[in-house]
Amino acid sequence: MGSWEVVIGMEVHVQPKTKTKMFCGCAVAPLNAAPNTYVCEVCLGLPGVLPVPNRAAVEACLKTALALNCDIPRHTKFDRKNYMYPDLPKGYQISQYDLPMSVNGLLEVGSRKVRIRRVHLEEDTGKLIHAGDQLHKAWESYVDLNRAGVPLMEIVSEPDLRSADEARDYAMELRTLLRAIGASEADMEKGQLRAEPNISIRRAGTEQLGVKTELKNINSFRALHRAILYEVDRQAKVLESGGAVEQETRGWSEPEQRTFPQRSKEYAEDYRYFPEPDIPPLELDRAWIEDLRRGLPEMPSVRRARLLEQLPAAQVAVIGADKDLADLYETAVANGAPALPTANWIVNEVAPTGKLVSPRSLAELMKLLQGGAVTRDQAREVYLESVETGRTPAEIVAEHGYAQLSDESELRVLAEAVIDANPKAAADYRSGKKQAMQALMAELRKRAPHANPKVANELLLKLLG
Amino acid sequence: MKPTYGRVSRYGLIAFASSLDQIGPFARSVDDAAITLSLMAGFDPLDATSSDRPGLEVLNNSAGGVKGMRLGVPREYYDVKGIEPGVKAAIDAALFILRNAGAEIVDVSLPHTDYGLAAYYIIAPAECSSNLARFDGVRYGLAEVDAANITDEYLQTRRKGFGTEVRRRVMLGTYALSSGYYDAYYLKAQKVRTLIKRDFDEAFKKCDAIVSATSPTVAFPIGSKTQDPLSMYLCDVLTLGGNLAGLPGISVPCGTSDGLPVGLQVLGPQWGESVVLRVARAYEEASEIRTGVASPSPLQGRG
Ligand SMILES: [Zn+2]
Repeated sequence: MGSWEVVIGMEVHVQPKTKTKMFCGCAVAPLNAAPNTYVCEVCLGLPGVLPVPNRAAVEACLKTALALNCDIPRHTKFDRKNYMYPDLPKGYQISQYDLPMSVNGLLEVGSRKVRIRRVHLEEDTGKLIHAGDQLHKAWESYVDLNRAGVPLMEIVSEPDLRSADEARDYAMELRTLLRAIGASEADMEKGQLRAEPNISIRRAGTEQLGVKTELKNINSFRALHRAILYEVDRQAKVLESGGAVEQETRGWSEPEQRTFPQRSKEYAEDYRYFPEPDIPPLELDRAWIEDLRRGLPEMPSVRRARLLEQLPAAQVAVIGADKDLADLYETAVANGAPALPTANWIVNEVAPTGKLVSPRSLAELMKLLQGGAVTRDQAREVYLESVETGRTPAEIVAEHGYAQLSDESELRVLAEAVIDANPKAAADYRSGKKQAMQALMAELRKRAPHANPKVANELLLKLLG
Repeated sequence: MKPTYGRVSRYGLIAFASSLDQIGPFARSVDDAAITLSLMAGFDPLDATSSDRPGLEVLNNSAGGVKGMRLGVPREYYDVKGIEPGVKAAIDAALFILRNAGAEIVDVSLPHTDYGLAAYYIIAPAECSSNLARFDGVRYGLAEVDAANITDEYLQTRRKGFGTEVRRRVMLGTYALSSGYYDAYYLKAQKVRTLIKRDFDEAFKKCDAIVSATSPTVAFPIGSKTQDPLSMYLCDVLTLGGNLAGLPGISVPCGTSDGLPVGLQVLGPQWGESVVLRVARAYEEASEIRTGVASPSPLQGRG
């Protein structure tokens, strides 16, 4: 017990940011579009149609490969992966087999160096909706081909990850990277990033890889983490009870929080790959590749290292993981915003809602807050109003008369009135129940939301003391 | 006429073997074929294999005659196994006419001809098996099948919808692409294809165009070879090479054997349609052989 080493390789499918599908002119369907409304004769696989590769998808794939330090060969080609399924209109999927767009990359996740085997390009399939949960048992099934032909990049790692934590961090790092280079929105909930871990375990200290299982249907980082923990535990129990792990594909059930068998190796398909004759091999022009390489922004790992020189690790973990947040932070600071309070504001107020203002507005607001011109509650309201209207915090504060009340004589009148109106709380405080102060402060802020809390608190203490 | 692979867009053409399929005109004269081709040809953004390459100046060049041209006769084609004496005689007569018209007839060799048939009947069925997969009855097709599950529905639809020859090719192609057989069949066939292309490259160093019979035999009665597909496939032996190499070719009538028409095939280098048309037109003019088919009378209605 406890002496197992976990070995994980990841297959991640990512939908690159393109206007149109992989091989036709159809727009990429928005989430929840009515079924079969984003289709044409090409992605429906009608007789007589031909695929023409989408340059934007190829470019996104090459950028991703470059960001992952991959080698880009001079020639690449598409292949047909043949199998019949109702969500696959042509009876084959156009993918890449033995000459992928890129090979031999590397991504550093924390202290772990994860080798990338390949990044290639393919097309997505449609979606089946069953009356019942399985195609072969359903009495009726419906086909939605909106997703058929949507471009997908497949990023395949070597089995270099050693824990559920590392696997999750790897997937999150990929998301950060893809967003930073603008290759994909990489939103897992929207199916733009799908992670499929291959998991095996072996006795610590041994070299021989164990039998692996592949997990599917994972649609959040949390689920990825839990599914791996579950699967590792399951495999350990099987082996410890003298059994053998079967090589198979297993699904993750979110409601039941467990993995279940989907397809065993005996049913492994023979995909009869062969070069796609409808698309000539692509020559990857070196000048184009170099242009793409030069156009890549700063890599998230480099940026994180720089942020760590100014901020604690907890803040960097949030801000450094999202290009938009990092841009907002760095530009706001460049506009004179105080570093740590701004970072905290972004972590607590911006990251959870995803609502962003211009860096200049954030800098202005942070200065107002620091100078005591507004309370934190007011700042939050000003922030949201600025997001909605696009007006500057200074304008909003002026208009609402939000400027904080710090005048001691005015505050004294208020504090006296609060004590008079709440004799019980005042008496409680005087008799040693310190928490009664909170009730008095709350009452005061109800009467004057713009009261400077620090000054008001001091006055109450003085009056009650 | 079959143009160079890529000369005419395949968009809208129901695919059989994608790397071999090419649309070409049927016409009653070489000039008609040339005019029709000039309208069909060109790059199409919907076909990634289509091209705008030059070599189509057919309307100007085809009238130029064959004087001074070198026409290659591949010995593997001239003496192909099973060639009927009547066909050979018709080709000899055609070569005589072309020589009289000023062409120089030269010997060339296409040493890998023997392997062409085998390569073709691996590559074409392999692509065909994949191209026909979409006819699965899910989105359109034979809806009347009574199937218990999806696999059964596929099987019934395809058994009912495809004829014997199509089913045979789907089976052949599926087998040739299967894991464990891919290297021995499909990959080897592609290598043969490369060798055949090289044969033609070498031959076109010695001549401007290649001439031969279009088929070693004249037409056989419909249905007479259904039980013997191999002998039927052998009728294609002289056209398969040019098809595998993606070259332009034309067949023009050159007399008869046993009362049935014989075709003279002219093959040109890649994108060399103008050469092919020029030779064909010169022969047509010198031989004074036309299709012999009168234009149908417009007055065919039955009242
Ligand atoms: Zn489409």
